[in-house]
Amino acid sequence: MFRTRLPLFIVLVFLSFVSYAQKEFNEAVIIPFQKDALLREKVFIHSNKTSYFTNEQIWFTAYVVEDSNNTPSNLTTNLHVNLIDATGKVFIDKTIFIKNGIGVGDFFIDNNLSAGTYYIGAATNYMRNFGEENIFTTAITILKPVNKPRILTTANTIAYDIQAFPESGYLLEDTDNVIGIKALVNGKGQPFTGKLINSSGLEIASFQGNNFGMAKAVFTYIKEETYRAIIDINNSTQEIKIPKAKKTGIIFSLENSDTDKLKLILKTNSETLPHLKNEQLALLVYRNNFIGEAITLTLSSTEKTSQELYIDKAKLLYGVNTVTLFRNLEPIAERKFYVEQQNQQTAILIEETETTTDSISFKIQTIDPNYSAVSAQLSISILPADAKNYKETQNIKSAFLLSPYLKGTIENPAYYFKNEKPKEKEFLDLLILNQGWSAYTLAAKINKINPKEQFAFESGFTIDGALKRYPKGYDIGLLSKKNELAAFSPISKENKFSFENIYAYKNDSIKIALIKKNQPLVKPTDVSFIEPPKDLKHFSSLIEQHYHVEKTEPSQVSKAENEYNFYPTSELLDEIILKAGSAQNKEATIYDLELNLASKRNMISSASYKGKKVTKQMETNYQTLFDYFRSLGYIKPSISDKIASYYISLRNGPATMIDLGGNANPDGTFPPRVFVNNIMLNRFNNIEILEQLSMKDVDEILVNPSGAGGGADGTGGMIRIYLKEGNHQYFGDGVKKLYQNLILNTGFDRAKTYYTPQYNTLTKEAFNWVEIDWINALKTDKNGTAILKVPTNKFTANFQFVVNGISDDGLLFHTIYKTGANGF
Amino acid sequence: MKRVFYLLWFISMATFAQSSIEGFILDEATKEALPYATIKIISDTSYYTISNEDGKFEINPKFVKDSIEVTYIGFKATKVPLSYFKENNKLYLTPNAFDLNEVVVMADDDYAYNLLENLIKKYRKNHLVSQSKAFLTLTSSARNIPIEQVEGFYNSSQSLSDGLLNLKIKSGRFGQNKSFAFYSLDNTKILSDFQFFESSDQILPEYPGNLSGSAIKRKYDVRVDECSTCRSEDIQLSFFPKKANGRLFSGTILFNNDLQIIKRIELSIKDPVTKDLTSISDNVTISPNEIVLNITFNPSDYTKIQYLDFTFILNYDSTTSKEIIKSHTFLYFYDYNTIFKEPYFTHPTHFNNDYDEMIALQATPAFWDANYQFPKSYNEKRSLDFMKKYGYLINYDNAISSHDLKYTKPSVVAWSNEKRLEWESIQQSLVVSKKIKRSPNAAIAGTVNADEVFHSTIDANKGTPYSDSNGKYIFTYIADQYKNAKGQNQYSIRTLFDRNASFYKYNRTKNKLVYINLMFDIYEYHRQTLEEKISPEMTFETVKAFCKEQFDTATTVVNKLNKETNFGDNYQSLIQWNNNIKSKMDIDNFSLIK
Repeated sequence: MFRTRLPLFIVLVFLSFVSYAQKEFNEAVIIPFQKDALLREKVFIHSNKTSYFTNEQIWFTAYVVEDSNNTPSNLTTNLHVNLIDATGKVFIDKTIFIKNGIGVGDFFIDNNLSAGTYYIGAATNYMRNFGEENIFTTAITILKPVNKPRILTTANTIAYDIQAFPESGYLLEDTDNVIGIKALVNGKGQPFTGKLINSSGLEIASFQGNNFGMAKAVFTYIKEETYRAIIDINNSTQEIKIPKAKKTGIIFSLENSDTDKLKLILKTNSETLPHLKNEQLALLVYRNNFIGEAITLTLSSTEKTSQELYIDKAKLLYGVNTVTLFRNLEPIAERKFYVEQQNQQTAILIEETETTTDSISFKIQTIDPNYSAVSAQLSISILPADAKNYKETQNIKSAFLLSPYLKGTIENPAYYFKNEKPKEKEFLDLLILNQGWSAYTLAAKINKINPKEQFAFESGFTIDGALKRYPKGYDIGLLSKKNELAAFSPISKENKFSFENIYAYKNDSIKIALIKKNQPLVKPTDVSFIEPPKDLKHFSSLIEQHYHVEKTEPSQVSKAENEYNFYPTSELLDEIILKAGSAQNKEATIYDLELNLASKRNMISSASYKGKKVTKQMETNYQTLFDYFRSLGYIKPSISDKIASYYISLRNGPATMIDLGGNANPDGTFPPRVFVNNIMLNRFNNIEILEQLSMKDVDEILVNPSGAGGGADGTGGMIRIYLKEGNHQYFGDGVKKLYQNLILNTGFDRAKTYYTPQYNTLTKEAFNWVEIDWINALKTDKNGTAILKVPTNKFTANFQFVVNGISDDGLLFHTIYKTGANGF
Repeated sequence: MKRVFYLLWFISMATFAQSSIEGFILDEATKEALPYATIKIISDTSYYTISNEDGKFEINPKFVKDSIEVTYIGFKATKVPLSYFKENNKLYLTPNAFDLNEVVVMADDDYAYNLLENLIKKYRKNHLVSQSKAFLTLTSSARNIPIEQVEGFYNSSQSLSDGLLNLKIKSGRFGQNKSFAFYSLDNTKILSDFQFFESSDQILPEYPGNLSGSAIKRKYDVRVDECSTCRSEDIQLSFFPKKANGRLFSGTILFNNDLQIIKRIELSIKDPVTKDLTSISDNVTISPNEIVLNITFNPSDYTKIQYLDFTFILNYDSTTSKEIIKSHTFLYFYDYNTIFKEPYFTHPTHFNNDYDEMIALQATPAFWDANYQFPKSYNEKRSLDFMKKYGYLINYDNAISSHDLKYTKPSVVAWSNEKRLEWESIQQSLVVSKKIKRSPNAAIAGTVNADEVFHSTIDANKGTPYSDSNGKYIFTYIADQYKNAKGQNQYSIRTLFDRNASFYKYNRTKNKLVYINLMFDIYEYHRQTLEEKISPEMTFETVKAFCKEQFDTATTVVNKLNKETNFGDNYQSLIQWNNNIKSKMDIDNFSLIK
């Protein structure tokens, strides 16, 4: 709550007392701010590094959360992630599948890309409804080895950009004013000293700019006076005019140092006071459509020209909030500010647990604000402790609490969330103060806060296609792996069809069949698909807005190359080869892992065949034979937890026989022979077939773990599956395929499985440019813990873990943990 | 190492208890106890003790083959072999019996004045300072119910002209009645303030020793007493104020007229007026009712004070109760020219009063055994028994129970495994008040090394290391040396939080409190590590140097904590540090602090 100190205004909480003024304000402002509000989301991309060589892969995890409470978005599925150069040109455009707010992806950095600063941009189509500050961007550097250092060219001209920002939008005569001063040299902040002087050259106030070129000054604006700011920066003196103050009006300033309460001081002058009678004033504290506090104000004294109000921060949102002062329902002054919430604080506890010759294990625990363990989804980049390829400028906190709410450049958003120096929060307030504000009309304001939907909410993909001919009365259907109808479309007169909301990965194989009620499927012929036009949004204005890019400045590029010149040389880079076997036949994602399969129940004796008739109960419990065998423990995940590959085995220990054919499973066992209706399946297709076989179709299963009677090839045992009558048309040799297998060109970009580049000979210095591991999605359990194994190397036993993450409740996790540097 | 110490204590206590020689000194005529009789042991080494207020004494059994000489003013000095006490436990002294002096009647009215004036003039010139150890016992009671009990060892310096110059506590212990908190240890300040033969604006009333000759004549009636037990060379003068105004004691002075040596001064006053005497507690008014002060000089060297016996009866008036409190202070000086080692602080530490220092300066039980000067009196025992039941006792079992600490608000808080620092212990801002500053190098001045210690610690604390803009947190190690009964060195090092010098202004969050406790724990952890390195063979100087070094190491770690946790603001880092301490000390501050 708030409280009053001086009897200038009688302050009323909006909802507690319904007066005419409040009713009017409610109808004119509050309702339009909130009515039919569109879903607001925000994005953060955690990339494994911030500097890459060409031919390397950018690995990333995408987080999409709801605007107000940071909870993982459960609606968004399609996230567009782009690699953009400094001119805003899009080089790579990928659509990442987001599930429960999280998705993973990667970019390959082509050797053709020139060195320099690039940006990763990410947004959903829907976010474009809310203006561009909502779109996530982060800068990365692409490095290219050069043999000869290029001559460093410096920019010929130095551009100064110095601006003054009155605290709540404008200055007011005859009162104390706070003004923010921002000074940039070639688009970058620099420290400076400065002073305000009046028209007679007398110094009124002095100020000092921080490393980001931000300062503020407090001064009393004398009637009719004019002021200038003199600034010493970069060994030069610059001068700007301070905006002329208004003669009448109301302004306010904020004091944001207390953790519980925000202090707001309304200020006016004696010239204004008589006009304020019978006028309607209101303060709204909010973020987008979320309103934390609404206060209508009534003048009750004609003497006092300032009034303090206290606003309870617990009512406001974590992160940036806005306070707007309305006069007669028009916004006249505004200021953003940052709210820290103690009940949102989190920690990631990392402990070394075990060291073996080739790896070090770490226990990771995610901890909530009350020092209790909480389950969270994390992405972790593991780099050398002194890594040179990672300079954090965005983390999950800066991306969700700050960047989406400020326009223009933020030089280093992550700086304000390091929590390393007492000055950080003060600097953050300076940053926000120096965003400035210009007046809007109420209509424009409402349109900004609560826009109408212009861009559609994407959910999966639409696949448009056409057929040359088809039997009359048939529609077209898209079948899933399980041969269930996944999508359906009538065929138009033009022989066109359209499948909507398809959730499939690009290059997935799909099956298409012509369908008609009570008729067998018909295999379609001459199907063609229409490639949707690429909607590559040109990002140049966005990049320009987010970063002061000097497009013509050549030094930027050459600098990057020069910096790199002393590090792994091009010869060295040639030695970077892909780890053998890293190319997986099956490119699985974490979503495959999410198949949470039942616990092992060993119902099969080790004797010979044991039969099992499929019951209704089994049909309900297990969708496919794959699920059923998984529950019995026959189907096992491959050793690596990051790759969801499976193998089938009826044994728990390795076979004693030597594998001559190279067919052994990862655990040394042999896969069993699988028969469907007495037709032996190809060993390599076992798993795929089992995934496709619905339990509903299965009549009986016979399992012979010993392999007795199977001959030499029966080492792995045998499984015999018998299908229900009439339900086995899709299987077995000689059965004609009733569908067409096609490869999708449209769809989500499937993430590759992470592989660590294999670096050959490296010096200790060059070692600091390598990456050690990348864990794109690690979920801590209900005790908040997960175990992580990090391979050792010959250069150092110390690593840094760059961790970002999120819990289901919207707690944000971030840390850069360096091993060995902790404790005493 | 620790275990060995305990073992030693145990043995020494056992032997002491079994065979210490004890007895009572009594008046043969009245069969009454003679309190504070001087008992000189005639041995190779000069050693003496006194009897307690019950006339009881105790002597180390190592003197069993020697004899003692017991002296008491007005009684014949008596010599007996200590073996006497194997059979008997009472020794009777015979009162002196002298004929009354012939020179009783004075021709001159001014005779007594002149005697007194000359004596005072002589003493007023004697500025010679002597140093000694001092042992203090203090008991207070109201309506005969014990309310306070204090014992303390001090280093003292005193001169005949000024009286007590300085009383610095070495170690002490005290007990308090839980239902009636009363702190009268300011009595040591009152006594230090009292001038023997100088004029002063003192708290206590004056007596002729504080006045000029003309003033004595103007204010006092002085006469020579009849004294049947006085030796021929001794004279006892009595003095009475001509007008009782509460600021003049009446009393007697017994002195050797031939040698001009004072043996005893006895002062008393009813309804006295005292200056600047206030209660430690603000909402209590105290008004003195009666004061008795006896100053007795050492019979074997009358230039030394043997004891001060001070009884102070006062009216206690608080919002809740009215009491008459009797407080008895006995301050005994011994071991002239030797003093206890001064404790060493790695950081200058301020104490509000002697109670605070006692809490900070915990001696080992062996120290108490080795230094006890005379047995506890019946009154003291009774008071102690009472405190055990109805009060609390600080330092008596050599570990302050944190439970008991809630009754007192010491200016330092010692680290304790069982209790975390709480916000109540941390002030909102620094209060400027009269404090006794205890310089960490007071005892070691002159050694260059120690001087460096002092400055470097100050320097280390300049600016930010210990503080953000809103707060300051001061910790210190206190290192102290004791000797046990066998004369072996014992070292005690403890980690203290200096409440007086620390504060935190804003937002008293759990994180911040955890952070402050983590700092405390880091210092304590390093102290524990240090303790393992310390052995009794080391000199105190070595121990101090180790202490300083370890404190600096701990400070480096605390600075790292400050930086990494942004003075406790960074939850992420704070949790990591909390875990660090948890794994090292098995203390989980985040769980323990609510």
